Amino acid sequence: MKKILLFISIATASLIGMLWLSSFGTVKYSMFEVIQMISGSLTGSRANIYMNLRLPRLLVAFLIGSGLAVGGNGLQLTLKNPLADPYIIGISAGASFGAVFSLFIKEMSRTTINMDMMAFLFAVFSAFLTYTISRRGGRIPITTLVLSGVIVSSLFNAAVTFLVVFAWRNVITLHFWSLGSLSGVTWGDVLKLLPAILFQYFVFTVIRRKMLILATGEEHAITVGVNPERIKFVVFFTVSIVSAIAVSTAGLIGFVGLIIPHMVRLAFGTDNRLNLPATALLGGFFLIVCDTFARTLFQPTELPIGAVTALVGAPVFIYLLRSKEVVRNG
Amino acid sequence: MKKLVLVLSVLLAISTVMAIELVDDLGRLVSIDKTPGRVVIASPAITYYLELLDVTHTIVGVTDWDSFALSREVTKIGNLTPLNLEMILSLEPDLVLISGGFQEAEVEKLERIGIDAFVVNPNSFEDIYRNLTVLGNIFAIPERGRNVAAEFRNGVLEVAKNVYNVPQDERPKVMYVMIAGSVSDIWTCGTGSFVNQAIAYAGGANVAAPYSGNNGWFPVSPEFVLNTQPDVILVPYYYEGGQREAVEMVTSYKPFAGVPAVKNGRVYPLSDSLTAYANPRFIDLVKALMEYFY
Repeated sequence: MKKILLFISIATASLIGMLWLSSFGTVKYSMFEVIQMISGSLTGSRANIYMNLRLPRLLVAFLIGSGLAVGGNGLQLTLKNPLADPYIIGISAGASFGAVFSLFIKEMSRTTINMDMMAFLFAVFSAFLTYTISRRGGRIPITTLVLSGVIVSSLFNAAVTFLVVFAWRNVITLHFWSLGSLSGVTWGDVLKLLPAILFQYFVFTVIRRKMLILATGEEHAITVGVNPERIKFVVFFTVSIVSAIAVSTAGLIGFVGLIIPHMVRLAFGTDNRLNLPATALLGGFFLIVCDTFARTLFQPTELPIGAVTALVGAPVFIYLLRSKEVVRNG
Repeated sequence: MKKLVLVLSVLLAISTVMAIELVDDLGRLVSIDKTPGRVVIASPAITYYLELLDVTHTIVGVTDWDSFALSREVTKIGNLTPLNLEMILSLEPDLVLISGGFQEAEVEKLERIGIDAFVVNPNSFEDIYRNLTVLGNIFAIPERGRNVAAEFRNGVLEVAKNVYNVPQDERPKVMYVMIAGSVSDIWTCGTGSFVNQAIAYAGGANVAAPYSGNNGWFPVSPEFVLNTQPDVILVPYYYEGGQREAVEMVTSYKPFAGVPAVKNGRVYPLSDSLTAYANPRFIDLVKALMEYFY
């Protein structure tokens, strides 16, 4: 009961917080204006900027944040590893290689391959690569997971650099991004992200119980009829879809999938009905806060949002790495 | 009343005729419905064109790096990439002038939010000439555009005439050395770059001319300098008074001591305002080079 109250107050605070944060930027709005514009009673060029740039940007930040956080949550449960996150285990790097590769093919051979599709393929590939490298006798120790993630990430980042330099030698330019930005996203991006995020949320809700059983140990899971490999496959597959679309929309954004699930575990516990909705909500809100900093700190110049999340996330990562939870499992 | 109707219809007729379609440097067909009264310049490379055409009163926003903002009250729009779209939209421009290359992705973003963008991305003497006439058309001063362009071309050819028949073996071997941080990180210009063209017009033989990279620019190692033994080395400097420091970066690097340019004291500084952007200052670049060469 207490937790339901906590959830409701977090949800209300986030909603008001989002609207409030959306008023900051190059163009400043009052809260009153924001409410008027969203309800449609205020139009004109200022409202046009809000409705066509600010609002889709806000929603994309929310969707990507909640998608990455829910994805991190799923990975941490199934891998029994509190440091698992799409960025750290190399899925994002794989996705960004796929995205750049699709641009490369387009420039070199004039055939268009869907960027999201390509990003997805390499995201899945890198997920399984990290998984295979780090697996030691049926379990995935924390240190080997982090190390394999680093290796896979640097492999794909190097491959991106290789492609960019190679393309550049051939007098073409690839626009690649290392730290993401939400500048210039539109309603089209919102519509592209929404189904993927909802799909992931739906899948994780359905297999939540099995994921929790898996988290208690693979032997135990098998005895109660849960196939660990199948669950892991479904989780990797789903997280890869979300990471791929997130990367091809906004570039590399790290640490969201790491910090948020951890905070939610502390507040709500792992085995709680509210765990998943709270992760989605806080993940989205967190990225909106980071994007507000990215947008306003050095305005009119914009910061890459990936730099902001890393600045907040890296210390938390260090804290987690030193914490009891990790020491016990490592 | 009749007069008013007549005047209005004539004005209407003029404004319909005014709608023109032009191809920009990305090959996009851009239609200009009316003469732009509010222009945002998303790349400092373009500003000088508007100064020459005398239409700077239309500029409502420039990037943070634009020297135009030093002398005038004008809104700064931030970085070249990613563009601050909110800022641009809030300036309500009729047209955004933007360069290509790494800004290509930004062009697409502007299109998506319904802002007219025109790409000005000159890489050569001919491109500069053509862009002057194209911009003249955009600002509905085609006559002035053509005149300024012709003046520019004649000016360059007038200077180049002085050295065009110098035999190949009497031309100084030249290398443009742009040092990013330390001497191990050198960028130079080969075929396809306007600086290479300027060196040729000024009567120099660019040792990097047989090579090329994106837009003509590519990185080389110090070994390239030792291998090609240039008679003249050109180094850009970025602020008034930075000349000595720029030259010393090359002369103080021990392995270069035997290179003819260093031995004979022919390492010359060039203001980066001449070499950073392909704009009509090209003529000053050719003049400056010729003075160093002969």
